[in-house]
Amino acid sequence: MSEDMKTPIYNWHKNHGDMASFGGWALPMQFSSIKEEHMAVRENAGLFDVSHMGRFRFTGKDAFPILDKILPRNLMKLADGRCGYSFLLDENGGMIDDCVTMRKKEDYAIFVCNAGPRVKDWNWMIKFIDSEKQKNSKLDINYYDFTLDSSMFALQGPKAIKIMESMTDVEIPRGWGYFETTLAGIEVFASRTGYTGEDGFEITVVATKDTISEKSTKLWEAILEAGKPFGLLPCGLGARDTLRLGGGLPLSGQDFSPEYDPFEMDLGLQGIFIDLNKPFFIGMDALKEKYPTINEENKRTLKELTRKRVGIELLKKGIPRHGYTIEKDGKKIGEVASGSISPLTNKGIAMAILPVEYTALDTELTIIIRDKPYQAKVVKYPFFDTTKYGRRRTQ
Amino acid sequence: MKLDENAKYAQSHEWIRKEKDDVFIVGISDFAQSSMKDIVFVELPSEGTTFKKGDKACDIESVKSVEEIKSPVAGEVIAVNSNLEDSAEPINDDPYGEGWFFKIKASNPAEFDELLSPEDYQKFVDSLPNK
Repeated sequence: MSEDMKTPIYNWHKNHGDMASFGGWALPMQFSSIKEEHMAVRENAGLFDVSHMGRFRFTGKDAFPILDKILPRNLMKLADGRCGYSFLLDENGGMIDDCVTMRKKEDYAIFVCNAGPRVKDWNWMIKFIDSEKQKNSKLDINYYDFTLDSSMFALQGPKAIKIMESMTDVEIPRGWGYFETTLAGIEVFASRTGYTGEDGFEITVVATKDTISEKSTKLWEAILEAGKPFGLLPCGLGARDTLRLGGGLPLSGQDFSPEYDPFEMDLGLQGIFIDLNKPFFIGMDALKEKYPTINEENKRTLKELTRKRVGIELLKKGIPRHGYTIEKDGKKIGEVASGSISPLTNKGIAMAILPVEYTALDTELTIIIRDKPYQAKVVKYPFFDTTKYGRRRTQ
Repeated sequence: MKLDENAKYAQSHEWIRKEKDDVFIVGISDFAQSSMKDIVFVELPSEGTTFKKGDKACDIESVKSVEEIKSPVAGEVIAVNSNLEDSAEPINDDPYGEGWFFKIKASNPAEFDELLSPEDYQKFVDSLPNK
């Protein structure tokens, strides 16, 4: 087992938090406590080091046209200064990873993916680009994986906007916008995105290997300082996991893998993550073959869908965890993909991919926890009152 | 790390204190609770259950993990702290007091004497990597 990689602010973490291993990286599990950090993000704000996530740059006038062939989303419709969520699919339509593409300008894309599959993603994309280049040697596309020359921090929570406004005078875009600014004297680029279900930002510093650690630590401490009056806490992986689960957001490698397509993950049925009217994207033919009735109009009600991701809530106290058996009438119908206790509601919550006949809301299920049956039911996600919490909160 | 000077300790981080005669009271150490943090749920044994020394006695869950609590001595469970079933917070807040787990009538009280003294437990914890 090779040693875990360290983010540029590893020393800060080591001095302030409990360390853990994730996706080949040494990262903090928690600083104060998972519950406190979770609640800080739902009520105020939290700051996460997400430098482990993969960051690629694609430049040149053919960068977007080629990325548009790789990703199922229509990237040609993405305007300058906007970001789009989508997936990397294999030829069978299976989910290699999920990702965000930022459009800095028409010939400049920044691509952000998960830590674990980063190298696999990179190789997959470069293989496709090379095959396109073989067909047309004049293609103008350059690419670079700048993960290790940069750091990325996620500032998340309803007060994230106030903290950002206190640190910069630039106009801050609405959700899914991209912008560049200087924070505490350090040049950054940022997107109004995140992985907690809350409003917030993902902020990236790019530097050289010699300076990245110093610059990143300075920025991290400056954001924490600016956020103090707003209740900002540094947060670790533990809260990141309970927050994304509470927000109903799937985790690469745990909730999805190439075994599942985006429709089964309940990610293709809504929104604009998949554009079936494009001439081509990797996996498109397989999805159309698997779902013959699919088109833009009826992709919400795919009748060929055999299994789907659902939210599950325990009806009594207990914690469903990854791998626990899910039964219906004494018969195993699936396993918990992600599960925990919600620090917000104190209920055991989980996500699982189940046969469609068990995915209607309120379907009663049983989860086996240490050989004992626990009653549960299918619920919608996010697992919180969206009028009170989350990025669309109204109160 | 706080220690209860009147208790003895197992290397699996349970404490055990003599209540009277052959009746002992069991919980988890301050080190264990602070390592786990955020303990949210505990599954207590039923009264009347008998354990051998080192048998799994209950499961304790924090947000991030499940841990097993072992019985530091052999005997029969004669009481459990059912308050913990409603709220596990006393385990974090008061591990040697309100956060106790169960009382056990020891079948071989000499096992108690074999456990670690507070000083030896402290040394044991200090010797752990990544504590």
